[in-house]
Order: sequence, then C-alpha cells, then structure tokens
Amino acid sequence: MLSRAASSRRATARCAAAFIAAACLAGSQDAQAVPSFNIPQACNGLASGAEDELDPVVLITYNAGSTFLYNFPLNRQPNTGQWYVTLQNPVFDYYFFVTTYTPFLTSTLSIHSHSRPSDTMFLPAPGVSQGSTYPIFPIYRVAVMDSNGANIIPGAIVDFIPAFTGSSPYTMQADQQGVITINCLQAESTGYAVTVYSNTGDYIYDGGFQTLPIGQSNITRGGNFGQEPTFRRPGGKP
Amino acid sequence: MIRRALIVGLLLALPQLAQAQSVVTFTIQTQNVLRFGHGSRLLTQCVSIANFAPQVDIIVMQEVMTPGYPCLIGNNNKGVNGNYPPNFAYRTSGWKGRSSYIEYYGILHRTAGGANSVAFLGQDDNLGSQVTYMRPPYGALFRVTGANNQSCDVWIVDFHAVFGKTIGLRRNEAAAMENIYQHLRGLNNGAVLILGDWNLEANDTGFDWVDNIANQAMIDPNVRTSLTRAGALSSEYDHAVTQAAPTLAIGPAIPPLLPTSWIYPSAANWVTWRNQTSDHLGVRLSVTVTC
Repeated sequence: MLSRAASSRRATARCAAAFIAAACLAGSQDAQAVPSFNIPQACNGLASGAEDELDPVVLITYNAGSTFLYNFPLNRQPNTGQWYVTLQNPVFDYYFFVTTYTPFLTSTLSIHSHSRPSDTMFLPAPGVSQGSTYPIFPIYRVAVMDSNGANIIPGAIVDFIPAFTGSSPYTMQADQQGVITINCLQAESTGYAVTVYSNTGDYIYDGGFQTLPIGQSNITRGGNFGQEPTFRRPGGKP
Repeated sequence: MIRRALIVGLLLALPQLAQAQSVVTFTIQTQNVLRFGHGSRLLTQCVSIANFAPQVDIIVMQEVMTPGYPCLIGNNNKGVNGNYPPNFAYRTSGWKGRSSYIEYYGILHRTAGGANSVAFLGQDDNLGSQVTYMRPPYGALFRVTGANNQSCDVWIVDFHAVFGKTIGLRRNEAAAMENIYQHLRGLNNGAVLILGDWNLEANDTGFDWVDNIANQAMIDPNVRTSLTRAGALSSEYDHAVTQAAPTLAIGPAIPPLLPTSWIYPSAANWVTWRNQTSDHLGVRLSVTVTC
C-alpha cells in the first residue's frame, strides 16, 4: 500500500496528465500542503501563511534602488530548498533583495554582482538580514482590541498586510477570546500593519501591533506599523 | 444606504421603439485567483477554472502573475501543461504595479460550445494612471451573441484595487473609478461592467458615486466573498459595478437577473477551495443586455 504522501503524489500525477475536472480535485483533497520555503527550525514545521504554498515575493533593485526587476523568475534548489535568482548579464552594482515568504517572515540581502554572463544569487532564509537573524517566535499571540483599546473583539477578522507594495492581505480570525495565534513570526522593529473587522466582516479600523519579547501583544487602532523597507547599499544613503 | 438591482420586468415594460432591439443574456464570473501562476497550487487552480468554465461565458480574473494564461506550459515554471478551458479564448492586460511586484489582468471568454459566443472587439489598457491606481484597470470590448443570433456589445473592465495600510487608499481608487465608468459610457459603444476585487464593501463611501442618479449605475453583490485561512467567510470585497437600466432613454442596459446565489462554489466546498484554489470565492452574475 502506498504511503499517504506517495498516494497523494500519484493523484497529482493523474491530474496533471489528464487535466480532468472534478475527479482531480476530489482525489487531491487529502494532499498535504508543502511549504514553498524552508521553515525556520525553531518553528517546528509550522508557519502561518506557508500553507498557501506560494512562491516568495522578491523585491529586486539595483542602481541605488532606482531600477526594479519585475516579477523576476525564481527557482528553488531541489536538494537544499533554497530559492535563488539567476541574473543574465547583470550590471556590476549592488543588488538589493527583499524577500517576503509569509506576512510574518522576510529576509533582506545586499550583494554586489561579480559574474558574467550570468550570476546566481541565493536568497537568504526567512528571518535573515545581511547575515544576521531576526528573533523568531514559534508562536506569537495577538489580542484584537476595539477602537478604544479597552475591550477585546471576539471573533474579529484581521487582514495582515505583507510589507511589499501591492500586496494582498492574509486573513485570520480571532477566537472567542479575541486572540489570534500566529505561527513563526519574526520580530519586527516597525511592527505589523493590519486591518480589523468584526466577526461579521464590518470594517472597524486600520492599525497594527508591535512585537514584544514576551511573545504577545495587542492589536490596536492607528499607529504607523509595518513600514516598507528603505533601499540602501551597505554604508550608503537610501 | 442600500443599492438595489433592477428587475428585468421593468425593462420589458418600457415603451416600444421604432427600431428592433437585441437582447442577450450571458453569465460572467469575477475571480481573484490568488497569485495565479506563482505557487505550487497552480495545477489545482487550473482544474478549478476548467471545472466551472462550462457554466459561464466570461471569466474575469485578478492576481494573474504571468503575461499569458498561467496554465499553459510556456507560461509557468511549475511543470503544469494545461490549456485554456475548451471553447475559451484569453485576453491579457499589460503588467500592473508600482514596484517589483506586479500582476496582470486576464479574461477568459467563450468562443463556442454554449448558448452564447463572446467575440473580442478591442481593448483599452490605459483607462487609468499608475498615479491613481496601484493596478490600473483593464477594459476589453466584447460582442456577445446569443442563441437567437442577437448581439450586444459590452465593455468588461477587470480591476484589483490596492489594499495598502489604510482604507483611504482603497476608497480613493473606488471613487476614481467613476471617471472610467463615465468615460466608457460616454463612448456609447457598449454597455459597461466593472468587476473585480475592490477590497471594500459595496456600502463603503468610496462607492457613493454609484448612487448618483446621473450615473445610472448599480453595484452587486455585497456579500462576504473572501475567506480566512480556515475557509470561513471574511469580507465583502468582490463586486460588479454595472450600468443600470436607464429610465428615460433606451440604450445599452444591464439589469441583472437575480441569481439564487452570487458566489461560487457552494459552502460545502469552501475549505477545499481555500486550500486548493483561492482565498476569494467567485462572484457570478447573470446579465441581460438590451441594445
């Protein structure tokens, strides 16, 4: 008898070959979501947002942040699982990468291209910035407060906003104690921006939360959370 | 304030005209497909679309990540070797976005194999500026021909609003859409439908212009169509702004037939849909155009 994982892969192969409708989806229902990146070890395989199996979003700039590369094709090394980009005929300049793996896990890298006709650059793992690692919380809890910051909102619906221009939100719902448990969140000096709705989907406020060493904090109205990254070369001005 | 859809019967009761009118009824679905082409769920996304395509004539998609239908082997690096749904053709916009992250708009339209055929006539991919919109909308003009061989032309505008950190950003984009709506109506060469993911509920002040009688517009639905990670309904983000039946003049008019349910798929499948296809349900409208 095939293992669960193997039988799911076989179902996927049938779907790919036949490209048939309902039967394929029914057969794949028990396939396990495979994260599209290496979840930090401290998180024990759980990372909120990783279940969607989406490619990381990478902001790539050079020329002191004035030139962008758009939707640049990413590839993932099969044996290590690390994502990389291959630049064809790169300019000899610093390339700056800001990678968003989930709304709660990012990495940054500034690296000078040095190879032609192509240069392969590996993206840092989640939570890594210029070789340093952000503190990562395997579990981080946020309590969703009302507009006055006085009471929790049971069952609040919260859109978490990834910190890249043009992002769409990632939606989670609080429990009846107004708490959302986030798996695998990196500490962020600017905190995280959110939009809060009632449990029936009525808009309440824009706000955010700071990340605190105790592993929990409150979502409150207002503030200026989750600033988008400023692009700079090492030692240089933005 | 409440924005209501008009009933087909009102249109049929209007005075007779000197010229014969054409009437066509077609089905259109707007669908945010969650980073369509940039994830390992691409295969199941393609299968989902192939599943429901036989039920509709036009599919308006947002969050398309490639400049071509992602299910085709040359348009993805996920090993998916698919095709368009049978009897459908595809139109794509140019890239949309302000930094490295960009999306495209995609529209699948039926060319045969059903009661209707939908022929592409032209497009306008410059309806709005990058200053006003994160992702300026894309408009395509189609000729819908029914089984009775009557035809009407329609502008289908595909739109994915900014989200941003404040609701004001989304409101501004929704409000600015009035200019595009008026512009297309002013061309007087097709009825106007603007569909997509607005990241706002339909009762938001960003849509106050819909209530302006002079615009003769309406917006539907206002039901929760986005899903939490657990597959539960969350927000009212997906709508269609359409041209209402004019009361004083006969022209291209679109009173929608009220469906029994606006959203696809049904509740029994939301968890699977969230896991395999998208964090948005589809919004489906049955539209009747008189021209």
